[in-house]
Amino acid sequence: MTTSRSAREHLDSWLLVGLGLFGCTLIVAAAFVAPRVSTLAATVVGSVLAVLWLLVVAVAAFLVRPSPNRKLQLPTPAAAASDARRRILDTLPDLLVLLDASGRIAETNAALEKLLQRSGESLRGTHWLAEFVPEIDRADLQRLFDQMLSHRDVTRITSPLKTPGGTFQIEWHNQTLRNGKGRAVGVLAIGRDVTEARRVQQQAVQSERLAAIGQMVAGLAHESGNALQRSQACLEMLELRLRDQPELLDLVYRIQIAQDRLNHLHEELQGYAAPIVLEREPVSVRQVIDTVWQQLEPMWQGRQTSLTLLPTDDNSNCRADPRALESVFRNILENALEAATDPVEIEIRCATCEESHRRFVQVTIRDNGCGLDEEARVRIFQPFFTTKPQGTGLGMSITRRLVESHGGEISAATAAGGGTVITVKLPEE
Amino acid sequence: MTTRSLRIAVADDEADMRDYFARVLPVLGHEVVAVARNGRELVEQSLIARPDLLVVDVRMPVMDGLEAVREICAAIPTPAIVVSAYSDAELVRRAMEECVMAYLIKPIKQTDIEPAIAIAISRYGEMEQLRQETADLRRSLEDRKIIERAKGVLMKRMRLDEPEALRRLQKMASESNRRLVEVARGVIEPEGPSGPR
Repeated sequence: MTTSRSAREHLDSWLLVGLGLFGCTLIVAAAFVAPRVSTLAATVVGSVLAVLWLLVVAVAAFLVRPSPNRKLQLPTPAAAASDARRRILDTLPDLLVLLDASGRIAETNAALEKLLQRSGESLRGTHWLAEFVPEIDRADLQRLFDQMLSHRDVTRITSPLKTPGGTFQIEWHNQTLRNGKGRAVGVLAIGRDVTEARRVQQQAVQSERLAAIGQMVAGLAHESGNALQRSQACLEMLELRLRDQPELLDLVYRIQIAQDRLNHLHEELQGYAAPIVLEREPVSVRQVIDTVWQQLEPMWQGRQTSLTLLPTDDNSNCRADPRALESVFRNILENALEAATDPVEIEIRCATCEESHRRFVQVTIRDNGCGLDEEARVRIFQPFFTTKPQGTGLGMSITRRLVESHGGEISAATAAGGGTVITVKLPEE
Repeated sequence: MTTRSLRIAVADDEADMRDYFARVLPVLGHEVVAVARNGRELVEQSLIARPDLLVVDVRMPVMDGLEAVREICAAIPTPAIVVSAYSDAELVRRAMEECVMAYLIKPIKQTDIEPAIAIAISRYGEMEQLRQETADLRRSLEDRKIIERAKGVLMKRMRLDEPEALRRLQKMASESNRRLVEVARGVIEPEGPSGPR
């Protein structure tokens, strides 16, 4: 089916031409000889020459017979059309697969072959559902496939596709192929990768739900302040009344501990639920960190702690809300101080970087504490996730909200020698 | 925490809280002179009792706490502590316009009230002192202007030089046993109504 002919095929053609010429020569020679000898002799000579020539042609034909991979035929109009069709299919960004009635692959296009990292040749004859659909979905899809063949056209389905690069969600548009008698002979499916679109869609639904829950929690936090206050007030009055009854007073103290926990949770929740209103101004992140470190003095005083800020010159200017940034770095440094045992070593590096035409200040805070296990690393920014007995699990979640409200990013990882690395990226503008 | 004993007026629409303030503030050494259920009651009682400090809830029926503080301060400047479950930016902004010295978010404890009262009273004292000093300075500046003008009048009328004119004014003051600025005002007045005030 190929249009370019190899040098070898050229050679074969010349050989045939040569043989033809040789045959002509023999005939001319026979005609030349015939009048000069007797009719019988001429007949004999002619017959011998003819047999000789046929023999030579047969040998030549045997020598240059077309082997399966050496095609001599010139591109016919039908072959050219099929080639054009092939090119169109291979240029298609969508995935294409043609399945026969038994569900085996009859044809694929380049896009699908690339995704599956297989050649078209090796795919042909493979059972599609068995090979490329996760087991859990196989039965459902087999049922749909059978329906497509028997009576119903299923024009659109979304199904998972197993590939060496992971499982993708593909939206398939199908058509049942029928022969002249109307019998289904296969299914043509054209698919598009909708993995990313699905993910975004799911995320949108999820964040809508979270927003609704958030609003509810904000309302709850708001309203519970008064109730908590009354409970606190009554508890303190009770304490005044029970001054001379130590065993009852002990109960009051125990209630107070529970009340304190509720009060703290309430306070954090309110901080978390409150709308973030940024007042941006030129800020040196480095100076913010310095300020926060001074504020945290009660936490590190009397301990062996060292804070290293690198590099020594200030390269951390951006437009941000200084109070919001103070919260961000206070939460991170508090965690670092709580996670590490003495001697505590905290190293903070400020750098600038550029990403998709935006300049960022990147701050990396590394401690030598207990680090994060896999679960903690994944969930550290989720609300109510905490590893501390007295924690509310809202600190890092608020921190992420504050960073993201600046258009920045925050991530957590485990440091090379243990400990935790938190990276905060803030846009300069 | 050593704060002098204060006469305090409280307002909260919740009975538990009124009870609480009435019991706990005396424990802290203060006297509760008014217990109001809303802003209106607080204004009425405070104008009679003239407390040293107001402790008010914000959201109350009839009249809210901030409105009450505004009315009371307009009549008798009094420091106030706000105790509210709400801390919306708008409320905080309104509170800053009044004589509110502290804004506590519910739930609070005795240990929150004690320092808040101490700080509120000390800040208010400082503020009052500054206000007094500013008033004094403003008056002495105005007196100075009147005396300067009176000197000018004397210099022109009696053809005196400046030290001579001042000496003449001082002499007039000591002879008539009046303040220098009053004598100066007497000198300017015949000049017409164009003098200051």
